[in-house]
Amino acid sequence: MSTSHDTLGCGHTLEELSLYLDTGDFPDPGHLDSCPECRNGLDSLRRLSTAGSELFSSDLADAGSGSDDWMKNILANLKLELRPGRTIPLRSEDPLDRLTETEGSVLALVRSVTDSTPGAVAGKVRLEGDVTVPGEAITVNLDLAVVFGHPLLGSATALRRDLGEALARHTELNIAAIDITITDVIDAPREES
Amino acid sequence: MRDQLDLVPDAILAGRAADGDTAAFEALARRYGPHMRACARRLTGSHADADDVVQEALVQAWKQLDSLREPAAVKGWLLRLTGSRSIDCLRRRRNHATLSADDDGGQAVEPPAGEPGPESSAMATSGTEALKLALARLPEEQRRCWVLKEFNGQTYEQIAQTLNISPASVRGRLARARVALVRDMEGWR
Amino acid sequence: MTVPAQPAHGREDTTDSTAADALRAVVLGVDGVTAVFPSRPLWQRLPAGALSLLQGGAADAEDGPLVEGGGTGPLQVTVRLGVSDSARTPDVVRAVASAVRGHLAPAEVSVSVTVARISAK
Repeated sequence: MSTSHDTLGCGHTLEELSLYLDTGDFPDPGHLDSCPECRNGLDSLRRLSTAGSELFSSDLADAGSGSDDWMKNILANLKLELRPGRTIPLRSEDPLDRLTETEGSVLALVRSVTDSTPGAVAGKVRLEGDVTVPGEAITVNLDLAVVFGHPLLGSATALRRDLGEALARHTELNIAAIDITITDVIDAPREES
Repeated sequence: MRDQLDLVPDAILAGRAADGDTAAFEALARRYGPHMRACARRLTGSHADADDVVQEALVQAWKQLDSLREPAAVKGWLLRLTGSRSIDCLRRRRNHATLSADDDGGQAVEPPAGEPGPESSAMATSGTEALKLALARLPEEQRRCWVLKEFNGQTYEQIAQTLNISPASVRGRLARARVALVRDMEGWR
Repeated sequence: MTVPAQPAHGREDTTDSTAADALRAVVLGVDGVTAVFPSRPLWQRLPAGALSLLQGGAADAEDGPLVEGGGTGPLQVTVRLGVSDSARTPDVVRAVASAVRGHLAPAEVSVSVTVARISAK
């Protein structure tokens, strides 16, 4: 770029070219094909953009892997608190006692049962209905990612049964329905092991 | 299980993390931590500050994940948090560093991470090296815009929010940054 | 009103570390219990000094059941725990309440049990 001023000889500005590069918007698009100054300017900006990508790649490589010690240290420092969510009552034998489980523990149970189903990975889980009131009808909504190539129908049926059993074993919720929505298909290869 | 999570799409991980799944959150942190770190290093110019910034951004992310409306957009959101925390870090450092510095658009207190000064430009051996040097000479306000755009892919509106300036100012600063960088690197092509 | 290791002193925490450890062991001894967590989440915890009474001065070791009160009303015992996914959580929780009550008998006890985690191991 040989101009020493931000306005080119053709009257357009480098700011316009910079914006065009990001958005594709230009006041006079036809002009760009015919104006050598604008084309030179765009070439320079594109070379800069390429150099920027290369610098980013180089910086990213220098930053290391997310599995390295620096990230382990950061994660160890975070001390992530469990999210309790709502409080789900359990029957007690003594009126003085207050027995409960956290919604977070039940969501984790649903994820764990789901993840142990071959080809399935749990996404978001919602317990719909008032879980704090004993006997209320509760619907479990589960987002599911399935690994490409696994038979879906059999998995969903088996999964619904396993979830029903686990919820009956670990909660006293009145589960009216378990709705499973397949939101993603994972086409990455299955883990090696 | 951990390996399996590393194969799972962002939206799934973000949804689980919002439900309180620490393993899913850590998988996201492993996936985007290096990008966050690279961005924070280039913005703060300090490896130590960058790791603090990444940690602060992750703390904020864990607390606010359930407010993320579009789980698939978690990558951009993490990078925006990283950008904001980096700018905070620069402000804190400037407040500590000097009373006399021009508070609006002055040069960085120190050049980015271990960069040589302008006198070393003869050592530039590649486009990447030339760009590093040119970036180090850029006014701080322009460099911030450029890094948020080119490293993080933020929109003008998002950069404006991060820097608390108008989108029109972002457009102008970004253009001036690019022009200055191209001019500075002219010898390289 | 007394607890086994040490008599109560008014409304403050009433056990020393030995009593707390014994109670913790009672809870951990119930089939299906995998872990005993700090009885309050971090953000709800009292300043270290107040709770260190419970743990014989170990300020950061608030990892057992919390025992409060005993002055006028029943002794309040608060337990947060993890349960094995191969157990039955409601049964485990009731067994924990019963074990705590048995351990502190003949004191009148109100047991609050929260399951914070259901998992393998």
